[in-house]
Amino acid sequence: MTKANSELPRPFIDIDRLVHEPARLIILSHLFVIESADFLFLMRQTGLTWGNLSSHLSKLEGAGYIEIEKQFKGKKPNTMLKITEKGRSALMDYREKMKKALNTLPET
Amino acid sequence: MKIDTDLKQIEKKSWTVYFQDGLWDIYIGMLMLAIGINTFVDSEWYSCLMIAPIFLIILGKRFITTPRLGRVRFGSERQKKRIAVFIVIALAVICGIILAGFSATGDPLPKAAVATVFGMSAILVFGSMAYFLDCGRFYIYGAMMATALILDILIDGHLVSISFLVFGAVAFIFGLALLIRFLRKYPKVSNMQYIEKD
Repeated sequence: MTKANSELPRPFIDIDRLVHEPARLIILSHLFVIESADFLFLMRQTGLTWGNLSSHLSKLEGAGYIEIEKQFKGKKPNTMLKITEKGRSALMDYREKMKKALNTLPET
Repeated sequence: MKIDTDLKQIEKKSWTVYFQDGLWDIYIGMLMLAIGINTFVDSEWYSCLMIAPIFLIILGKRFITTPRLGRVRFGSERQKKRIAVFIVIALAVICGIILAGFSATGDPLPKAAVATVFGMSAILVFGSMAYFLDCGRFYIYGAMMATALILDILIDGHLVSISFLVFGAVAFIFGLALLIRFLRKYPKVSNMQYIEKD
């Protein structure tokens, strides 16, 4: 555990930082509610730039949270992105942990 | 970048974005204009104007909308809703054919009955489209179409057909405005590089 982590309250330490990043959170949220989408659709819906989106997708793919299906529409390549079961679990787990973590905060 | 963690809102927004292109509005407008023109001209050629606009949607989605918004596949819930709309439209078409059959046999139903059936069909079709496709504008188009149909059936005279032309023009112009806004908001993206697997 890093020094920075050890200073955090216990409920927040367990938060999945891969999901916690706002851009990746919104990417996973979009992929969670649909079956699959291509790169352009995600770019339009998330408002991220191409480079930014590409970078985050690489990290999510590396963690096994999304999978990439390369298809061909005629001769044109078409890449479809899909959330995996691991990604779904990670997002739901993140939601529950955030709820618990925020519930520990005092009222005012 | 706005973070919207309400998953239902995200799903709805992902779905309704495809109606921002105005193609459906243009189609409905052209359909009503075609009905109105056909009433005045009463020519088989103008009847084709009612069928031609459907190709506008098919080609428009293929060459205008999808290259700008990208491709998405929705889950089974949305598929079921689409099927529900098709079923409603099919039932409405069957009702129309049955009514046309009555007219053809030389024993037409009373005008009020015909007007009621056609009016309710229009409201049912557009209402179900609005409900299942999450597009509120279709309620208004349903009301416009029902009003024009009922007036056209109950009141004799070509003057009433102007209601189709007026409503059609409104829908068409609104659709055109949506399309222009859509083209400005979502310019075509060229030379997209997709991420490669290692």
